[in-house]
Amino acid sequence: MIDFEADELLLALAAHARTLRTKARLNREAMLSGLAEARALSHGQPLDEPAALFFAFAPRSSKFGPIGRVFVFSFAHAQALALGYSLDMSDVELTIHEIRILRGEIDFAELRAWFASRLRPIGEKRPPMKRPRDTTG
Amino acid sequence: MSRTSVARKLDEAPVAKPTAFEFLERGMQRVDVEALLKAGEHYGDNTDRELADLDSGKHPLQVRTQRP
Repeated sequence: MIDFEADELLLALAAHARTLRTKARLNREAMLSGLAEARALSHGQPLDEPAALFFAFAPRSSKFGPIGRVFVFSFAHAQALALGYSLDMSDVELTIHEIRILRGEIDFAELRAWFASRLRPIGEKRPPMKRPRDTTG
Repeated sequence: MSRTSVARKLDEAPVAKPTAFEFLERGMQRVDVEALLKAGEHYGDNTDRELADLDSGKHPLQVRTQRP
């Protein structure tokens, strides 16, 4: 699981907030409980960690102030990158999934499957789209 | 020291662990930070309004994507 302690992440978040000229709320309790939930969800399976972090932290996003959503999205991407993968998903897709989590419309099993289908080893290109067959003659 | 022995020493050196700041920074490079900040400020917890804007293509993330 993630190599960093809650306090290290909070300090890093505060530093990024200053750079971005926004604010971060340093909610240690939310960070600790989010990390604990993510660890429990991933069951020690590294490739499930990005999804577990996203699922655990999406409902806690507002606990970290204005930078909360940037943090939650970046956290999932960063963990995938640390494992040697990139997440082939857009911010719009992540936003829709975040809303579904907030509304209780998606469980972790479904989110994990979606993340698993979007994990790509770093450097691997997306498979080319098949050209539709020309049926006009 | 020869080039080969320098290269060998570099190979054997432990890889420096990124700091938490660098770790998060790599993740931030994968997202549209500005649009996400704007969306967070604009919608807060109002998921109904945010979904409606996503449906109509007016969400800050979509507006930025559509820019030339």
